[in-house]
Amino acid sequence: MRKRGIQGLTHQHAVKSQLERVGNELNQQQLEQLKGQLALFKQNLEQFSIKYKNEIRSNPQFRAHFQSMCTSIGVDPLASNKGFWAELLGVGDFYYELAVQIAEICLATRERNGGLIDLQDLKGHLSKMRGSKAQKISDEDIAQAVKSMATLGSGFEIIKFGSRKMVQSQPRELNTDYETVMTVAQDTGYITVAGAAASLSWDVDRVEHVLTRLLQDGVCWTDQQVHPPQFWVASFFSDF
Amino acid sequence: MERQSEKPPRHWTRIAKDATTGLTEAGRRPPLLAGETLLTMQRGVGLYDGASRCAAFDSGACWTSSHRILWISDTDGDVLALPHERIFSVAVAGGFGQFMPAALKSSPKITLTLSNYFISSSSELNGTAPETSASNVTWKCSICDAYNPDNIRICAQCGVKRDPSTSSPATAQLPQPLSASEKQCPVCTFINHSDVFFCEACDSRFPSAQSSSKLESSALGSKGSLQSASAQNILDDDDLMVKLSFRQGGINEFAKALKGAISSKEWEKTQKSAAEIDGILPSSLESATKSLNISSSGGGGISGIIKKVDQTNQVLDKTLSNAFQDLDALMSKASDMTKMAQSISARLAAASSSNSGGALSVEDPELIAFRSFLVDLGISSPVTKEMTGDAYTQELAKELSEFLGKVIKRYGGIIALTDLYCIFNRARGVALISPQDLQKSVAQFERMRLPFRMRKFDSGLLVVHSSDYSDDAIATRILNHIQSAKVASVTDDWGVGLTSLDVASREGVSIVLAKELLLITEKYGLICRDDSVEGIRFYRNSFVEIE
Repeated sequence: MRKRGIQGLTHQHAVKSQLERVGNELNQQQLEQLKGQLALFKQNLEQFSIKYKNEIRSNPQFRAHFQSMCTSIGVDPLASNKGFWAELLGVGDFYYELAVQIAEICLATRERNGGLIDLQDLKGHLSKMRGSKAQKISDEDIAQAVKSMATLGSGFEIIKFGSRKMVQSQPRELNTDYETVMTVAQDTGYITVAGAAASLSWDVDRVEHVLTRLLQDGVCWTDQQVHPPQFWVASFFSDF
Repeated sequence: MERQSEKPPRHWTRIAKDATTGLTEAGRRPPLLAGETLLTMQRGVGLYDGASRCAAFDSGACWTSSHRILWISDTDGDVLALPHERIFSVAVAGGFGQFMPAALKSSPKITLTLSNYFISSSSELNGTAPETSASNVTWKCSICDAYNPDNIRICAQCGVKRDPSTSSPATAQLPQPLSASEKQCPVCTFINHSDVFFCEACDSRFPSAQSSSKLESSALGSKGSLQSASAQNILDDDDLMVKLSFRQGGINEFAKALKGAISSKEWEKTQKSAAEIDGILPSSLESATKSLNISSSGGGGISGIIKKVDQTNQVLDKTLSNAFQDLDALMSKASDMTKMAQSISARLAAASSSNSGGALSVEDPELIAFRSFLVDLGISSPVTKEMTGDAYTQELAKELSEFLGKVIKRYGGIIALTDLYCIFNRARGVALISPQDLQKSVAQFERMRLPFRMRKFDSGLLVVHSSDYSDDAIATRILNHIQSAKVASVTDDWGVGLTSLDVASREGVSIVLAKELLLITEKYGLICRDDSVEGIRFYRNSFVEIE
């Protein structure tokens, strides 16, 4: 029976809000369930990619399917565990895979950090990327993986800042950071570490690294008489 | 381009060159259809047209994919294809005379028998009809007097080459119908009964003008709509035969992969639309919410909807746990599970965007953005060692060069080998390559005349660059920069010259690279330097002009 007047309207409103509530609940439930399925799928895929690595690789058709499953679920197919030979000799696919993962993290974060990433940060990213089933990665593993890319030239290296270890992924030849810092110096002729870090909103580490290399190359000269030390760009001298 | 006019052997279709990739002909790779994967390849494969060798298609790389046989010419990158669905049977004939002189040697061959169902129904016939009718013209062997069809250049009986000077084509006459029940053989003049198709005395086949009755009885039986004019020639066994000659071995592996591909019928699976999987997994979330909104007047269907959603979820859970029992189970359900994975992630994305609260991803936004860039570039069927054997490095180089064509612009025409290692491997997915493999393939670029080159910097850095960074291109650009800098300054005749910093800002590259570019130009003697305490400036080399 249809109610009329104000009572009818309030009733209608009540029904509507109730329906909305049920609908939202259902939605929420569905979402939870989907998340559960995704987690299950992910877990299974991770397990399979480690357990049946060789079988998956040797069958091109299945490999394509497996690959696309991994992509849509968000599983890294390159997360195998250290085999006997990797443990013993430090060679093999384990390190190649790790190298790909390290390089990917470095590439993805390059915009922000200029190709310089803290080793601990990197490890955090790596464990997320490799999923729960994979082995933990040690500093030595990372060093070994970086070393395994040596045949590809000196693109990657681990450098030390005091006690901190950083992985440098962008070679100087392809790094425009140096130019950027010098552009900042263009107006005044000199630059300080803090000043450059503030105006570019970079880490102090990144600026220091760039300036140190510029000093080594003789592009910059430093004035230690003042505090903080100033870095003068030699090729801008003629402008003053 | 001349070869483009050469007609492919019967049953093969030529695949047009894809102009967009801009690859050189040496770098031609098999173009793939959606859902198609490459299985194996073998070099040194020649094609036969029926029983005769095709000179124009004599040497190439032959691939078998899940859908087709692809043949790529060694000389000009011409690509021919033959779909698996047309193949009726595969036979391997081992070669003989491996230790004999080359003239007597015969390479092992794969003979494919095609099902005539497809020939008669496909448009292929337009191409085959005139060729096969040519076989009615015969020539007489000068050695053994046997008659051979005109499209064969070697006598089928004694194996001696046709001598063009003496043997003029003996025009095939139609059998002379002497009376209603008899006809005379045009080759040996024996008088046969009018119903036979081969001469009883000399075994030569009668030209087929009158043989359509036979066709109708057999071929028409399966396919009703045969046009007798075009179907006349199908019945000859030769016409349904495609031969591949393997001159560099590898025939058994190839045949095995081919048979596997034909029996698995992967092409049928991809033809099935995604609709099927949607049937199993109705996108219940959206539909449920929609119907909830619609049903606001009654509210009767809510429990029904909830039930339906529950059921779907149960089915999904069950499918998941079944498929992941072991590897075989997953393999047999691979394509379904792939679609399910896509559907789950798509639905989750939709659901979480509508419910803005749910932060799903555990990964960093930076990584996700980077991944999505790589997914677009995914290599659907990466080359592997097992697939290509000793052609691995070359095939990898081709694949790499195709890949570089797509990405190198994003990197400004120059990319460090280490970066390339990462993105190339990510695009290849599970099929990991080692740094050594990459380095070897890159080293092949110059020899294979692919459009990219490797350069080594003094610091030990290895890069791959496009033709924008060839020595000539660099020198031209640097000279232009110097010229424009000179025009801009009016102070004196020499201009102000350029420092590596100037070049860096003009080219948008790093200072080190800019310096490298200047040094390369200097090496050519096109510019000269002014070395001072302020740094090095480069000017145009006018000393050359003084002399």
